[in-house]
Amino acid sequence: MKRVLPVIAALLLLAIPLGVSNQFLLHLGITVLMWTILGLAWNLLGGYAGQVSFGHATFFGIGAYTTMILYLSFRLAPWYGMALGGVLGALFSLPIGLICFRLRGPYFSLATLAVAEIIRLVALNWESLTNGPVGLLITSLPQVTVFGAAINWERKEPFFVIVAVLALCAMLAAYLFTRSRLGSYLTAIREDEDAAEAIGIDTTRSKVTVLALSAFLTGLAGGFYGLYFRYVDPDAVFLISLSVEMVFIAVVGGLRTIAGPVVGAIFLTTIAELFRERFMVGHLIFYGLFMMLVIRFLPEGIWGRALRILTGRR
Amino acid sequence: MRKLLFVSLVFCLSLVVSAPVFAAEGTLKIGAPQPMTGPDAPFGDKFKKAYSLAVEEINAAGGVNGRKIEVIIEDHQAKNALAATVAEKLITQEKVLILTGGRASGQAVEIASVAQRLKTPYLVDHPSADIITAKGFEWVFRNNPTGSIYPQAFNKFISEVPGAMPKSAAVLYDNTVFGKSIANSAMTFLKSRNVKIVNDEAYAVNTLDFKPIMTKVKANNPDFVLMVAVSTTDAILLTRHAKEMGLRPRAFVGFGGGFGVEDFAKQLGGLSENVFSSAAWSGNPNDPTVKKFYATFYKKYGIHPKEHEVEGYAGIYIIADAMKRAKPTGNLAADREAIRQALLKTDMTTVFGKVKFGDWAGPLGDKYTNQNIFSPDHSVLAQWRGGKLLNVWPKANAETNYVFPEPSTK
Repeated sequence: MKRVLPVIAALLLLAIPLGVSNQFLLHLGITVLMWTILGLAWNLLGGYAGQVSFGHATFFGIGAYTTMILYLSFRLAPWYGMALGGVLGALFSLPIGLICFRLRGPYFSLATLAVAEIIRLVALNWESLTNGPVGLLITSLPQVTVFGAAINWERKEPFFVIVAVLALCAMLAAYLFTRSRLGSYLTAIREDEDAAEAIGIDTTRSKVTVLALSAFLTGLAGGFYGLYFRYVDPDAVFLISLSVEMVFIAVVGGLRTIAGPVVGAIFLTTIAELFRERFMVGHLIFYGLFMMLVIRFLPEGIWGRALRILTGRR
Repeated sequence: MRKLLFVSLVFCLSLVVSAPVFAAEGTLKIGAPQPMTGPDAPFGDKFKKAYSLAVEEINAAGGVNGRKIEVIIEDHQAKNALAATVAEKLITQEKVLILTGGRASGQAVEIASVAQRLKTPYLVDHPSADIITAKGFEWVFRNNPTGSIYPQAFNKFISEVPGAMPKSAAVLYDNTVFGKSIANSAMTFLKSRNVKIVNDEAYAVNTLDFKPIMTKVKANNPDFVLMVAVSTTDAILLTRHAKEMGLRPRAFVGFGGGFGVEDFAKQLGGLSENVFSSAAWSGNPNDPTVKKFYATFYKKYGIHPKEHEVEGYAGIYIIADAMKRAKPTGNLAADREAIRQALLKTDMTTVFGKVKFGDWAGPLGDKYTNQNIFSPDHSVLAQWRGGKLLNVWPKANAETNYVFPEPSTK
C-alpha cells in the first residue's frame, strides 16, 4: 500500500488536465507545482542539511535567463534551455558553496543574500547579454508534434504536464536523497557538525553537493518560469522576496518532509488568492497574520503536524 | 491564549472561504490589473480614482448603448508573475471584454503577452517601455507615448531655438527600463547632432547621495545637464546636489514623473527655478477640456490630478467609444474581436489629446504596432517658474516665454 499510494497520486496528478479544462484553474495548478519544485529544492538544503539560504532567487534567475537567452539567440528549444539552466545554476553554486561552507554560522546565509543582489545588478547592467532592465520576451514557442498532433502552446495543458513531470522528478530526487548516504551525512551535520567531522564525514563536500542539487532544481524551475511566463526581467526573477517565498513554502509545509512543500505551495498560493479576493487592499495584513499563526501553532509545518498525527508519534 | 489564537486562525479561514462579492450582471466589463498593495500602491490608487470618475460620468450619461460599464481592478502587487495571473483571471473568470492599466512596464509586458495569447484587447494607458508595442502584438494598443518619445519636446526645443543646441551634455538616469529608454533616446538624438556626451551615468532608484556623481560631472563642465528620474526623491536630490556642487550648465533638463510633480518645487524652493521638464504629457491648463477635468476631479477627490489620472481617465473614454461602435452582442470572443476592430478605427480627442492607433517607426527604430500616432505631439517642454510648472515649448502650447540660458551662467 505504501508503495502504491505515491504512484496513484502521481498518475492522478498527470490526469488532471484530462478532467479539468478551466484554464485559470490549470494556471493556478501550474503555479502551485512550480512553487512545489522551489520549495522542495530549498528544503533539501534548508531542511535536511540545515543550511539556510536567503538567496535562492540567484539560481532561479540564472535558470530563467539561460532558457530565454539560449532560445532567443540560438533558437535552442526552451526545454533544453531549462535543463541547461539547471546545470548552470548548479555550476554557479559551486564557488559559493566552496567558499562559504568552510565557515560555520550565519556566513552562508549572509553570502547567499549578497550574491543574489550582486547577480541582480549584473543582470541589470550587462545589457548585451540580458537586455538590461528591458528584459527578454518570447513571443512564440517552437512547433512540436506529439503522436502526430501539434501541441497548442496557447493552452495550459502542455505546461501543466511539463511542470507536473518536473515536480514528480524533483520529489523522487528528494526521496532518493533522504535514503542515500549523503542524506544521512547531512542529518549528522545538521545535528552536530563537530561530531560529523569526527566520524570522518567530509562536511564541506557534503554541503556543497546538496547545494548544487538544490541549485539545479531551482534553476530548472526558473527555466520553466521563463518558458511559461515568456518574459524575464531582473526585478522579476532576482528579487529577494522570491527567495523568501521559497523559505515560506518549505517552512509552512513542513521542513524535512517530501510532501511538505507540496502542501506549502498549495496553501500559500490558494490562501494568497483567496485573501486577495476577500480582503482587497488589506489582504497582505491577513496573509502576514496567517503566517504568524501557522508558525506559532504549527512550527513543524502543516504537513509535518499532519504526519505526526497520522503516524501517531508525539 | 493558545485557544484564543487558534480560534482566530479558524475565524480567519472561515472568513476567507465564505463567498466573495460578485460583480453586477449585465454590465460591460473592463479589467484593470493595478498595484493596489506594495510599493506601487499609491499609483494604483491614482488610477482607481481616475477610472471611477470616468465610469461614473459615462454611466450617468446613459452608459454605452444603454448598458452600464464597470471596471474590475485586480491587485498585482507590482509583481510580474502575479500580473500574468490576474490578467488570466480577468479574462477567463471575470470574462472582461478588454483590459487596461498595468502601471509599470514589467507587469504590462506580462499582461500584453497574456492578452495577445488569449485574444483579448489591452489598452495600455500608462506603462511606457517601447517593447510593449514593439513586438507585433495586434491585440495591444497604447494611448500614451513610449519612453523613447519623452524627449521629443526637448529635441524640438534645442533644434528650433537659435543657439540652444548644446555643445556638450551630461546624462544621468535611473537604472530602469524607463530611465534607460529615455536616456538612450535623448543621447541618440544628441549624438546625431554631434553633441558630445561627457557623462553617461546610470544610478540606482532612490539613491541617497548624488554628490559623488556630480563631482564627476562637474569635472567635465557640461553645457547641459540631462537628468532622468522616475522617483520624485531622485529628481529632487539630483537637482539639489547638482546645484550644491556648483554645477553651472546653461540648462538643467529633467525627464520623467519626478520632475513634474508639485513636491519638486515645494522641496527645492528657489533651487527649482528655471529647471526644464520634458514630459510625455503636461496638460495645457488653458485648454477648456483640461480645465474642466481638473475642476471635476478636484471637486470629487480633493486632489489635483496629474499625468497618471489623466491617462487612466482618458483610457476609459477611449474604451467606451470603441465599445459603442463594436456593439457587443454577448458572444465573448466575437465581442472582443469587434472591440479590437473598433479600436483600430478609433479617431477621437480625449482630455489627454488626439488618439488614433497606427503602425509606425519610433525614434530608436522600433517598429510600433497600434501605438497612438499622435504620441510625439503630446510631448511638452515645461519650465519651473516661481514654484509653478509652465509649458514653454512647442510655441503653440506655451503658457509663457522660456528663460534660457540660465541667467546665473554668464
